[in-house]
Amino acid sequence: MSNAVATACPACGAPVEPADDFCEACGTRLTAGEQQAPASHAAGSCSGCGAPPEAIGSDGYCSLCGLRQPSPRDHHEIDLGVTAGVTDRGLRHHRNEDALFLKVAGDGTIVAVVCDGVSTSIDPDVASQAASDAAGDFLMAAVENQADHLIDVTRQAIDTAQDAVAQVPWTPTDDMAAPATTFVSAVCQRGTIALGWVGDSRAYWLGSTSAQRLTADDSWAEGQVDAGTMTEAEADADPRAHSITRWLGADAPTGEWQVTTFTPDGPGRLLLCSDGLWNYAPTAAQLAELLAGQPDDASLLAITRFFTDFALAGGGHDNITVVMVDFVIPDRQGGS
Amino acid sequence: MTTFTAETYQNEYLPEGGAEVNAVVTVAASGSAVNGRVGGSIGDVDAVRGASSVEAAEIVIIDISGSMNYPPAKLRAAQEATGAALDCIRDGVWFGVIAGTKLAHQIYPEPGALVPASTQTRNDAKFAVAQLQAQGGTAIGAWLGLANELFATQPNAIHHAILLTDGKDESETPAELMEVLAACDGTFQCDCRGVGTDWVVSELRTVASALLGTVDIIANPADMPADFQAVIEKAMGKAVNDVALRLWTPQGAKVQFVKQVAPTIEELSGKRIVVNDLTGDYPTGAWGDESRDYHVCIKVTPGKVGDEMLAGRISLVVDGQVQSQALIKAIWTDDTQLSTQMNREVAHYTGQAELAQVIQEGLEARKAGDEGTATVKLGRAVQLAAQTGNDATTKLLAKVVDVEDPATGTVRLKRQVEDADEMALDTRSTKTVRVNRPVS
Repeated sequence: MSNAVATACPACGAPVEPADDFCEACGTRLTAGEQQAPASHAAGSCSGCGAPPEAIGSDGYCSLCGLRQPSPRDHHEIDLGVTAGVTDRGLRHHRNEDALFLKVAGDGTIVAVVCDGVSTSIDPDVASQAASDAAGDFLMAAVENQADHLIDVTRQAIDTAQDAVAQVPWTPTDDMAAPATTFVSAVCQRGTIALGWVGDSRAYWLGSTSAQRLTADDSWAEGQVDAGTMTEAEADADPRAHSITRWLGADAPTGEWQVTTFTPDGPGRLLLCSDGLWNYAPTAAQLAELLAGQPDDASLLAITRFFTDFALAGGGHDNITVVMVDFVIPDRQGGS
Repeated sequence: MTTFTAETYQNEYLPEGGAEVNAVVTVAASGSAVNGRVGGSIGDVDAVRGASSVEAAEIVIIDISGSMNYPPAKLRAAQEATGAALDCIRDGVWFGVIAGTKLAHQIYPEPGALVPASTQTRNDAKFAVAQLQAQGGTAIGAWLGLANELFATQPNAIHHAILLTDGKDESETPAELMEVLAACDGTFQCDCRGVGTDWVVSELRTVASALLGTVDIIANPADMPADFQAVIEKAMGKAVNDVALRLWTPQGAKVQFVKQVAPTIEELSGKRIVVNDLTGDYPTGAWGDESRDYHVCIKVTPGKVGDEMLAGRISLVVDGQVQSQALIKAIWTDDTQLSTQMNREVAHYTGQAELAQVIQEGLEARKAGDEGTATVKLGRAVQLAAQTGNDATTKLLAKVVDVEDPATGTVRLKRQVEDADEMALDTRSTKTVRVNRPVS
């Protein structure tokens, strides 16, 4: 980055003095040097031009430069010790359309849901939030009521999420589709994982002795690989790769939901994520290698933050959501 | 009480480095409930039931220059039309009648003031109008100047005038007319009508645009009474005066234009009143229950991909109170599927504005003898009118050109065009077709 001192304001072009910290014409903060690094503004001041908190309107727009201020949903973390999750807007989207649900029930069962709103639909951020809240609440209630067949419960949870998204109010326009989102959920109970998914949000098992992808995308690319017409690398490189073939929403194709159970044979971590992460490390082997580089005593929160930063460093082209769950296999009775 | 709503229609997504934001803003007013029946007296309970009555002032200005005698039917029609107009004025509304030559003559009531309408005063006025004789010149500025003075005697009323002329503004210079228009700016609205074909469209359009009014041709004098009635009835429906469209834009942004695009095209950019560094007010005159569309174009300093910026904030200023709000947004994205779509409302009105422009340019070229340009421009007009479903304009164009293929805009200029048809196309070129929205 050049260290040349600016002589004209980068925002409005007005002439500025070398010693100026702020442009006198438009109030933009002037930094001599790295323009990428956000200036450290006083808390509450505009993240764009540094205007004081009083200048921020009640609807979140700065009344001087017009920039929409960051929202809490832009970066959100949940840390429950045995499980942790991070969701982040990324570097290129104007809002976070991913949603995250993560809770631990009274009996220690973990319920996790990750949803990724479809950008070409209306109000995708509302869709993903509605789906994850509806399914998450349903799963938690089922677990608290000691429900047995977690696969059936997972199917019902996806039904509930589908209803919730289909009911998101929207006004038809020529160009945009009805609110839509992907979905992936995991219920981790007594050493077994019940998974359900729609679209291309994924679950991986990163065990101490093995690593594998647990979900198969509802996507064009996956269809090609399944049919044997392309390798995974070829399909991923095609521009059509990310067209999803199933989603939740008013105009979604119908059919049976994809569900499965997985019982790990040793300790390890479950990872759920949206494509904002796996686009940068699609295979289980790549994710496992990244994980292996983390210190042994790293907390799950630290590891999920690490994966998020990895995606941001790769370019952060999409919203990023990562959830991890620790699996310690219960001791078998009678010793080794 | 009149309440306003404002709604934005736009594609907010811009490509990396994109700076131009276009939006259509629909402003709707309702709840005007202007009361008072024509013919009822002020004390009439029915007349004041409901919303409080609105103070209004109405002046009818008619041309009595010598040409109004050729034929005599013209003057008689103007007298009849004035009577019809007076009959539409609500009881209690202040009114007066000005007859114009190279001077302005207040023929009713006694010069210097207006009177409230009642059965008695309306009849007295009609009597005065019946005595009119036509002779002399035409000085529209003088007539407007007198109307301005009379309106000043009723400062709290909504001021509206209807002006009729049949010829060129020959008894004063254009500079004199412009001076009067500047003095009248913002004090009253005036709808202008030209009868016959000897008046100049661009002249009357200048007056109407300056005074936030409409302009139209009455080709056949017999149509005058009905037209005057319609104009006055519309004026009587206005309940709130001096409504301004307020536009805030952020630092580093420039307003490229603000235009009314429905029901007619009016360029408002030149009328902007500065409120502060970032805010300007655009006068829109008096409102009844109605809806108008505006096209706003703002050039902003591009943000980074992922930024969301408020490019404009629209609100309505009514009686000093700010009402309603519509947001014009800019969101930078690298998703070309999002940024390359053109919002259909913006596309529609951009087309309608181009339609008005090519009609006016085509007619000018035709008058100047430049048949090549005229054919190209009017051909483009035919194409646009067909594409945007503007049937009224298609019919008017068909009187001036022979249409071979509306899809490609292939036309031939007609050899013989009636002046009235050419002037009708010219005056109505700014009438737009409303974009249709799905009924939710």
